[in-house]
Amino acid sequence: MAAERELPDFLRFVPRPIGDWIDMQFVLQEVEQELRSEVLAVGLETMANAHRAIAEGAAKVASILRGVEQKRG
Amino acid sequence: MLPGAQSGSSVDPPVRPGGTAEIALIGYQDQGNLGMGYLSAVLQQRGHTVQMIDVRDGPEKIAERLVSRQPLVVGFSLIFQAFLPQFRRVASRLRDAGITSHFTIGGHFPSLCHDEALKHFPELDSVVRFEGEHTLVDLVDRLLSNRDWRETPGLAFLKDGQVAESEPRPLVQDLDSLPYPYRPFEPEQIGGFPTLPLLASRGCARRCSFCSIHTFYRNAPGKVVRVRKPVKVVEEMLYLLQHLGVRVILFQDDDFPLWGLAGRRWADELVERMYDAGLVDRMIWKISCRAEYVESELFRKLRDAGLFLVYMGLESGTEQGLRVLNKQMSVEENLAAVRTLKELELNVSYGFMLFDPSSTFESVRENLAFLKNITGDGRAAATFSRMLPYGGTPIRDALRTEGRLRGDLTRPDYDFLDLRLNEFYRLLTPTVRPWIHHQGLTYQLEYAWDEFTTVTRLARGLQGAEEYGKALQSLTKESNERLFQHVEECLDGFEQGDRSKLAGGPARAYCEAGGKQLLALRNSFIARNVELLVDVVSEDCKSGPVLMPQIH
Repeated sequence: MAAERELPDFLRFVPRPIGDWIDMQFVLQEVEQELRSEVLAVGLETMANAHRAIAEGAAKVASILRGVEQKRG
Repeated sequence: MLPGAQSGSSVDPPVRPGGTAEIALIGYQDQGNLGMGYLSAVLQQRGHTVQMIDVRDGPEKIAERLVSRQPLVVGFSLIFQAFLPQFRRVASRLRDAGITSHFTIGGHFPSLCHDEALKHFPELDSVVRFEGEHTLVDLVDRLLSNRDWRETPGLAFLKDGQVAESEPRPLVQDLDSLPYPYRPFEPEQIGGFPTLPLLASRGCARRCSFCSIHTFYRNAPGKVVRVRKPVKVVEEMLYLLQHLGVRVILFQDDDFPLWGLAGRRWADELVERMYDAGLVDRMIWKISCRAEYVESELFRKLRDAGLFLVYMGLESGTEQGLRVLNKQMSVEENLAAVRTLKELELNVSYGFMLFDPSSTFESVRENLAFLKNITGDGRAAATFSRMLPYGGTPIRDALRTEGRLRGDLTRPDYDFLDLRLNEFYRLLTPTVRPWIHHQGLTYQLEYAWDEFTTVTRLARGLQGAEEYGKALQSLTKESNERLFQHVEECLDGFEQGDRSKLAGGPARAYCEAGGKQLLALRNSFIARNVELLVDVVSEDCKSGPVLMPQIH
């Protein structure tokens, strides 16, 4: 059985539609789904960054407060 | 929006010596985009420089490419309205990068729904409505000479916040007066053979309710169906063979012009010219046409001259569905066409909408029975879709009037008459993705059939072809049966209140295994014939033909 990698590049199996694009509604849905996923991913990354910033800020404040308390002590 | 962009003439246009300009056209480049190719060619004929850019390069890359060049016009070529947000993201990024070019858009949706396009795409200065070749050239001329671009016939734009249209521009009456499309890219390949699209005609005489082709052409002045001279079509084929080594032609006509006596005469002359030019046995070609044109004698002649694949919009397996879609065809006519093509051993590809606005659970079953009838022998992969109410189609207007139109601009939708079908469709769709998806088993099988026919038609004497053909048919038959069985079980379950089948299940594993089996069979067949295929693919295409092409 021949492996894909043993064939010259131009003889590899790369399926693509050659009929009519109008039938690609399912593909379009997929494209749109990918875009939606991309938007969702960007939103989640933004949220993660915001939480990270809040966490870092909170940690700094905590550290400062602790320092102040130690000085008082 | 930047002030310069809005007026199109309040900043100095980047005029080059000789009164020419740089233009960027952005769109999808699958199969070669003939629309962009024709636009580029007419602009180049006037001395302008054109960059054709694939929208999938993404906003950042496109902005980077254009920011230093500041083209006079950036044109967006929109095929489906679902892509509108993607195009808008690019346009928005270009404006943010300081690109003040005139932004325009063309295609079916913007032409027919120019008000909606302008409303949802505020970066645009104008919409080029209907066929764009002459309008775009005229627009560029006016921008270059600081004349009022709003007077360019064939445009729509916003004036004081209101949608305005210039006078309509007639369709291009003589298609042979256009230069060949600009094709600055490496052709895609099927089985190693370079493949490109081509047009022999434009327009469709029919009025299918779900289709925007006839409304696109009928809303502009001039004759709707225009056909090129056979000799000119053959000259372009010869040009593609000799200059780009193209061996497979995909005729992307709205409806290949075979209708009536005139169509037969045209086809006879086309075939005759192909023989004269020495193209037969060196090039093969695909057409899209209505099923009613399919007739044994004519299609035998076309097959012998290189036809290998026929795409037909069958669309429904029920008389009621065909009526609602205004196909002006009967189920029996569709079946007869498929039978004839199979008898002639031509590949059959088809559009089929399992769901349409008239669908009921019963009609879905009838449609499945029709699909089984045409694909049960495994000679074609089973596929289906759902009718979508595209902008500018009569059925969208009808659904709106009935209060059934749903969704939004980029994702149009509708309610079925039986609302339970909405839910069934929603649940069914993800479960058929292992087959019907751009990497799904159906598409792999369909492509494998087209590749198999391509290599066996263009490279004679391949070893193991008969065995591979039989194995491919057997695998396709089994895949079709599994798909039908899956949809039927889902239907039965849903109607009896059991949704377990609609939760997915073994379909993905089956299709993945089927894909692997197909790949192994296909690679084994290709591997046995690598040397012969390499020889045939690298054959010198410059020698042989009798006719010399008209070089544009």
